[in-house]
Amino acid sequence: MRRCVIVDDNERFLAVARSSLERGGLEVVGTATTMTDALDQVEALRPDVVLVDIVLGTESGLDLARRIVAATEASAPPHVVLISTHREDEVAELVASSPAVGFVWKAHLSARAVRDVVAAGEQ
Amino acid sequence: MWWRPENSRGRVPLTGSPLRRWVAGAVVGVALVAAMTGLIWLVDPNPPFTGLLVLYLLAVLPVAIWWGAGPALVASVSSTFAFVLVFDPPRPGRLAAVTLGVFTATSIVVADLAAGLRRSARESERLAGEQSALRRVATLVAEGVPAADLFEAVTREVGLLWDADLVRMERYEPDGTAAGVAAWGRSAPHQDVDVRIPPGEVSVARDVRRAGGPVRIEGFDGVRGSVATEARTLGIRVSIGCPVVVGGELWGVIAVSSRSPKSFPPDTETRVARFTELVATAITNAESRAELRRIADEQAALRRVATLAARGGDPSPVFAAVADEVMSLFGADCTSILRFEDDGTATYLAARGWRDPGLRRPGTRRPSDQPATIEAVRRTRRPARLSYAGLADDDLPPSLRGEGIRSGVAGPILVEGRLWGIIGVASRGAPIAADTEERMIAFTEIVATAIANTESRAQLAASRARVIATADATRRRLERDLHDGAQQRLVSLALELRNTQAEVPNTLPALSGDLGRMADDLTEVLDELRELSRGIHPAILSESGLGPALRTLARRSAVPVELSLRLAKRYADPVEVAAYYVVSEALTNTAKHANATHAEIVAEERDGTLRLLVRDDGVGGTDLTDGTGLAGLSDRVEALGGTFRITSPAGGGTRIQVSLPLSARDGQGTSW
Repeated sequence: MRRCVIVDDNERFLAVARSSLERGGLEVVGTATTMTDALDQVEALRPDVVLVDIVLGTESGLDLARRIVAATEASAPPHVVLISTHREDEVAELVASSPAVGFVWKAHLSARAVRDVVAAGEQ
Repeated sequence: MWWRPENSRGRVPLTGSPLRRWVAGAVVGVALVAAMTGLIWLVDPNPPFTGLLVLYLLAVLPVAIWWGAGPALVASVSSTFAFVLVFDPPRPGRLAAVTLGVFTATSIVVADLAAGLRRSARESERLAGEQSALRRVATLVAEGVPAADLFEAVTREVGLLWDADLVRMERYEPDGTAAGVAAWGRSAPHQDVDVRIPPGEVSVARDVRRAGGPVRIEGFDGVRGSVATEARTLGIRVSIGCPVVVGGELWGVIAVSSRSPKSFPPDTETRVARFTELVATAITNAESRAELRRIADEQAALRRVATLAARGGDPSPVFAAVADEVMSLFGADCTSILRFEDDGTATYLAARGWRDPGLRRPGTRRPSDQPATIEAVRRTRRPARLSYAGLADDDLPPSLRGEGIRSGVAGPILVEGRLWGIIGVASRGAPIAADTEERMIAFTEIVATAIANTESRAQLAASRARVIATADATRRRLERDLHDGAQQRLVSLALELRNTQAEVPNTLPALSGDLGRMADDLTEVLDELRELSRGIHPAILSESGLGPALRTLARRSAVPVELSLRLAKRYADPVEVAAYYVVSEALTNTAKHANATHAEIVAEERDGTLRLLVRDDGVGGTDLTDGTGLAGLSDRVEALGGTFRITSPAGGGTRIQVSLPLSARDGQGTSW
């Protein structure tokens, strides 16, 4: 599991996150700031993991998570990991009701955290 | 008394034609004399003279008493002849002359005395009868019997006292007619009371009105008109009429009629007047009682509707109650309350008594319709009165066809100077009372007040709701700004610090440690900021709706919560925010003060309303005045047209029930 796409509406965070994840051994093959952009990237790049911010400006990361899974249902869908500046206890309901494998708080984002969540989700 | 006749017409021996009476008296006198003569002869064929005179007086006196002086004279002559012929006294000529003289004088004196006695007995009996009749009527007056009963009693008493054949009591109506209110008849006791005598027609009523006092009509021969015709049919020969004057005004008349032309002595009018005075007193009493009762009824009705209006909220019950009260108070057959619309139509708010209620259900539009009181009120902004009497059904406005309405009165409902609607009453019979317009004002004012209250309450609620919504929007933007700005930047900064820390060569452990601590500090700041931001606005609520937000609250609660949700995905922002804060504040309260072991949250949508129940098994004793955030929430809920109820008996746990209407309320488009 190496290839990753990050979806967030904050450019600075995208840059920081990319460097943080790549340092940890994940290849960030693409980034997106909108839902349409994100769906295109996922379609084109077929990443292993998609990190999705729960709040995408006026759009909903939860919707995006559902649509990613729905769009790629036939083939093997990527693992969706939700991220947010909110803490996990605030969004647990949303994460649980979404097809995402898990959640990582943005301030704790790292390749290792992502791997752990995916690993936990796969069990 | 033994000479008392049965009534003024009497019976034998005092009745019959005078000649027959006279002859009868004479025959009886002669027979008595014969009997006395036989008796004396049997006892003593040669009686002493003095005794005989006295004995014959015994035969003459009863005749003088019963039949008068004439027959007594016959008896006296018979006595003289009988004595002279049968007993053959000495010097018969002189004896006969003396006897005849004494007997005649005695007869005349006794007969006159007896007649006088009889007359005064009759008079005193008549007076006694009149007094007791007056007393009976006065008792009825004092008892305050219904007017119809009193009038009936008076006509009967007067009829019996004066030996009349027909007695009628009539009331002068404003339209000039005289309406029968009671009647008594000797031969036909069930006279047709409900007769109206047109003004100008020859009648006792007309003459009394013209004369302004008692009148006497001797016969209706050759007079035209229904009254005269009926009088002739009944054989009425004489009628007298006495006015009934109430409060200085000619109220009505008592007409006493008889078939016998000599029935009523000349003083009858003044004596009947004693009865009319009693009737006037009774009418004055009854009118003031009725007036008092009317005022009391009206005040009670006003109090009832005012109480309803003061209760506030939906004014529909006020409309319904006013319709009921107005109809019974004003003696109307139908009533309607309508609101004017801008397009010239009107909307029924309440209606009573109509034959076609389907046209007049609350909320039904009433097209503009002429001629109708409602249109007149709309034009003039003043009370209006219309008479439909005499109009063919086709000439009536469509809404009134088939209703049989003869007259109507409508008064404007003026809300803060605006013509808002009307209250209308209508009658199928007698015209609506003349003071109805004035009396209706109190009711139109109560309705206007209820409407004004409701409108200002709705406006106040709308304005509170707007204030709250504005505040909510501001907080939401604040939260969003914090999230998009400071939080995002701090998150990025924290991540960058960690990245930088990873870049630091192992040879500089102190720097690496510093960077690590800075990143940790930043994370703590982030946490604090997050708490702050959640207090400003729960992001999860706008993100995902009430259900997940309430589940999050339940999960985070310090006291275990049982959650039961039956909700749609999303509701209007103000509803979601209010519901969220209610549950959040209730749970905070439970955790802080209740010392509870268990709490329960029920949230469900039912009948267009979002219902919330939060309860715990704690110590209770919470109220809205003790500075908890609950008071503000109660305001917030009420601003949305909802209700907020808290029951928190000491030791009995706390139970908060909230209902929030889900239909949008803008404060103007009120449902009524």
